[in-house]
Amino acid sequence: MSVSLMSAAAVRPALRKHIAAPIASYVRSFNSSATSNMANPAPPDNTPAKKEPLYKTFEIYRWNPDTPAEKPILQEYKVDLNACGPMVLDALIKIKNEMDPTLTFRRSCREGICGSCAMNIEGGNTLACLARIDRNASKPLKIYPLPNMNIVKDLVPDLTNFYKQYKSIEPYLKQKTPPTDGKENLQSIEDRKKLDGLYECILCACCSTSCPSYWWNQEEYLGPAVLMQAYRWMADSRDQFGRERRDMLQNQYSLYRCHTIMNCAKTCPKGLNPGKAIAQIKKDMAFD
Amino acid sequence: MLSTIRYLLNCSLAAAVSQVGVSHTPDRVHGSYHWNVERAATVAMVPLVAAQLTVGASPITDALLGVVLPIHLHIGFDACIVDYLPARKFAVINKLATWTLNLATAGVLVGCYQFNMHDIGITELISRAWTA
Amino acid sequence: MFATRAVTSIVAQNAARSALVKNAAAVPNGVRSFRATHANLEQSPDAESEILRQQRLVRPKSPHLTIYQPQLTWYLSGAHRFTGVGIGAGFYLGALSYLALPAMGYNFDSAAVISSVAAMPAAAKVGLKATIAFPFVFHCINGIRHLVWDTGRFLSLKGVYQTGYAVLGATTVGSLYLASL
Repeated sequence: MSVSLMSAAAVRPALRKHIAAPIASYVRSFNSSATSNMANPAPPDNTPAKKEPLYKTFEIYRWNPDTPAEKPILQEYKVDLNACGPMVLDALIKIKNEMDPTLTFRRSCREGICGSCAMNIEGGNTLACLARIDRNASKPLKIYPLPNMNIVKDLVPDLTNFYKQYKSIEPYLKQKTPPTDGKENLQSIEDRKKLDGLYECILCACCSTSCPSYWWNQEEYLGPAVLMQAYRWMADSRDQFGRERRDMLQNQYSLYRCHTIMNCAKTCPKGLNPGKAIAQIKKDMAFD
Repeated sequence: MLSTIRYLLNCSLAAAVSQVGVSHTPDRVHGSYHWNVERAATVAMVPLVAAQLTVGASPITDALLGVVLPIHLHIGFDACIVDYLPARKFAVINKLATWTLNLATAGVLVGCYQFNMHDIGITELISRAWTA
Repeated sequence: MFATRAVTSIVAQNAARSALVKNAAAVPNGVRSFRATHANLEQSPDAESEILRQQRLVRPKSPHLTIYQPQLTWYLSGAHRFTGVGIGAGFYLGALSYLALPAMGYNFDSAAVISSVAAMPAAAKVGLKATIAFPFVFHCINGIRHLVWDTGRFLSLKGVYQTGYAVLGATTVGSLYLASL
């Protein structure tokens, strides 16, 4: 609730500006002002004196495709935490708006539902919008792109292969016989419950890129995120291609590179457990 | 030279990427059957090691161990080759490693058989060397 | 496809502010990517794949092992593989030596092994036993953990950590006991 209130408040000044301003600044306000207001909410008039600035160092992975010969570097930015929102994404947006517009990263919903801002923060993969900034200013905060991915620019990894893998498991309902009444696919409450913990995945790729097996064999191993979605359709009582879906995984790499390392469950920003879903696939396939 | 290698690597990467989405023909021998054998060999190790530690040397334990342990180890080493030296990246090294492993495992199976038949047996050796 | 679009939009976004971009001239000054007409952004498939190919040639891979946070999950998994390979390599070496060394004129049988161990100083014996016992006990107990996981039990994050610490505790006790024998 508070989240939606906040976003409404943040958008309003941008709209007001729009009425008076020429198109160029409308564009700008749409692009950055709304978000910058979100990152630094203007204090109401009756607040007491401003807090002392608390500068924390952010070390961020940079690589520019326009100067490809230059090796990737960690660039340092000092951000005043008392003039910044609480989350890592707030700091990234503040840096982009106020210090370095060339800093490149994906972001959209800023509330953990779109999965765009997945990155490696302080060594673990998570969503920047759900990761709180550690307020201990003596320790720098390191931000890398998702591990072992081809880099497009800075914190933006190329997810082409990840999406192709997702497509390859045919993530949609498949049936041999249509529903008996010709209209609806009915499902019992118990059967519906079997999809809980599976359907919530937002495909942010945090788990897959945290998996050492995926680091070594991502060209062939499907990885935890895609395998959990494969299981989501195997587990669906309305789907009639479970056996065929499992048969697609009958080879050395697609499924069986999973060695139950469990980095996936540890890192999932939505608290899901791909490792358990994969174990269930293996168990089912053992008796197929 | 270097750029040629880079170019070839790049082509193979592009090929690998574009291959995803093509469904594999099901191959249970490398899929679920392999997994089942791997689990079976591992499960079999549990009572064997337990028997070694509690009962001590016995010709049956030694004979079984001389077969099950090499199989368990062979599958384990092979998993390392599949993980770290995949054929799509290391075509030659992958073959070399796999055949070296096959040969070594065959040798180890013979060695275990010989040792259990003509020497004191695996368990007895460990227990005597441990308290020597 | 995706990467190309990302790059064209980066180029378009930076065009107004940054002189660093080489082909800034291609984009009309001050025009943002989402205001550019479709024709502006459209490229032939050949051109797109050529841009992709050029990019793939030079782009880096993000770091992984060296920057990923140490976690019980993958550290124990790594330890399981290291200990397995270590003990396995020792066993293979021993068995193959038993087969090959006598043919090469060396004496390698149980009596030779036992007497050479007996000839070691006491400290070396304890050290040797500890270095064998620790990986062996760890691999055995963690192996059981994996077998239990394969049945679907203790696979919650909580279960993973509880069993992980239990394995570490049991390994310490077990390997100290074996080394003391």
